[in-house]
Amino acid sequence: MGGGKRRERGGGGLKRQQLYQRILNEIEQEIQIHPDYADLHNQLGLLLMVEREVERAEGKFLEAIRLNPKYREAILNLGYLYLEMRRWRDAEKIFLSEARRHPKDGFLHHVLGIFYLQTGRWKEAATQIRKAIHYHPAYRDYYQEKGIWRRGAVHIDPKAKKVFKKIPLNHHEAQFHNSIGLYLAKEGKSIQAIRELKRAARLKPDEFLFHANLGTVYYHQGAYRIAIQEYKKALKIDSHYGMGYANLSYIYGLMRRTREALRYMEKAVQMNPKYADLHYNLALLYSDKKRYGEAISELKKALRINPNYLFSRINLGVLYEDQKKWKEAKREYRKILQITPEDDHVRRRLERIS
Amino acid sequence: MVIKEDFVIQATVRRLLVRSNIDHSDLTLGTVRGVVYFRGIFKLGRIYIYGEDEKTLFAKSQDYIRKTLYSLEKKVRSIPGVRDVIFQFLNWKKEGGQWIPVKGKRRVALETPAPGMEKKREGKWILVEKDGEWVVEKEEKGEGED
Repeated sequence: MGGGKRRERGGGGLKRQQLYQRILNEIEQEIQIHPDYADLHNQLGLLLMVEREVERAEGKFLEAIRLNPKYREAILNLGYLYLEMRRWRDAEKIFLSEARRHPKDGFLHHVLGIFYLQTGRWKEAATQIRKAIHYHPAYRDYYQEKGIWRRGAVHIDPKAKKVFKKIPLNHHEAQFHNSIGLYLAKEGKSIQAIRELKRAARLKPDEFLFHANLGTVYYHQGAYRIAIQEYKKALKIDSHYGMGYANLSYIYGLMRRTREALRYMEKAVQMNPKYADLHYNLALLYSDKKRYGEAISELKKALRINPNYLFSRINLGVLYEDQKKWKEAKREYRKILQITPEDDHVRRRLERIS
Repeated sequence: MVIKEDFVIQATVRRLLVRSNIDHSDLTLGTVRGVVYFRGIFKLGRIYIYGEDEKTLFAKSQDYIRKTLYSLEKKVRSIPGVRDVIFQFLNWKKEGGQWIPVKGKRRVALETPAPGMEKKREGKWILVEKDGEWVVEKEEKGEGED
């Protein structure tokens, strides 16, 4: 296994190869501009990995992890790369460690199950498959279909080794399409981006990230109803995806359906209580609905998280003014002018109530 | 009907930003009764201008940023319900209707590819787990290895 041999992907070979090459060149250029962006190294690693340039891909994933040791996606990608390179011990080390950190992640147990099936370690495979089904019941149907899960127990036939040989490649392909999709989206080519992200979601339907990314592209494109559907799919797979709720709220806001926007922003804040921006947005929604007490409370929470969050202070001042709490309003405006003395709007507001 | 809700304006400006080539990672955004605030460092996601000397390259990139700023302001002002836009960028300010860079922030404004900037690391690097954290370090060679 080594570099050079490029894999044919379905549909429009030459065109796709040109697209791949262009994206590869652009990411390499971006890395020259931003050599410390872990995300770029991870993206490049994925492109190289799918094109079987495994050694270069390994270097890129390692660089991404060196820059951000908690970059889980890059760590898992490296694990998959080791599976492909048949560096079983290295792959096992990564996936076992990640499964220890995230014991309820059914997908990790699923990958480990397949890994043990591929390497003929039946007992360990059975344990991991049981865990995968326990934490992610959707895998029950999958293993049932493969004849491995029958009457509530794991039954492994030695032929399973062959059956599962190709499965991890789906991950590469899916990640590859996801990566290209994101890149095209960044370039504003949303139709092409959606095509790539849909391919990714078809290859790995239970990956919440692909649906979340599809939601984001539809959202930016202005196709709000489909965006909502995709975000909801993502949240059905992973209900802890806090930003999904926030994005749903923004979309409902754009559709002027502020009742739903409020409901989802409340959920987003509940999931991410330490994110000042979400408290601020929730305060705007409360304020728009004239629920001033709750708006003030959220603005104060945002300021507790980030005392320099100037907009929270301005909104707070305005709300105090509405309630004729002149002393509190003046206090907030003065604090703002200490930070930004050139803010004429705030200065005028202060002069008006002084 | 004119939109009066600050949240709706905020969501609209947010979408406008993410769809543009503006790098909004160092920007914060606020809406106060129809007045939209921007704070932070104004940067573009990417500017690729080639084949010029550094001085021309710099002037061209500044011009490009300036045009983007005018365009951003125009788009934000056209959002229904927006009464005013206030920019409080650390690296750009508007004076007499003209956008001018704030001195000492040139490195922020100019972002062009510099070949050979990518760091190269010699030798073989591996992933190891230390105290529950992943660390990338140089592979120690055992005795008798190359």
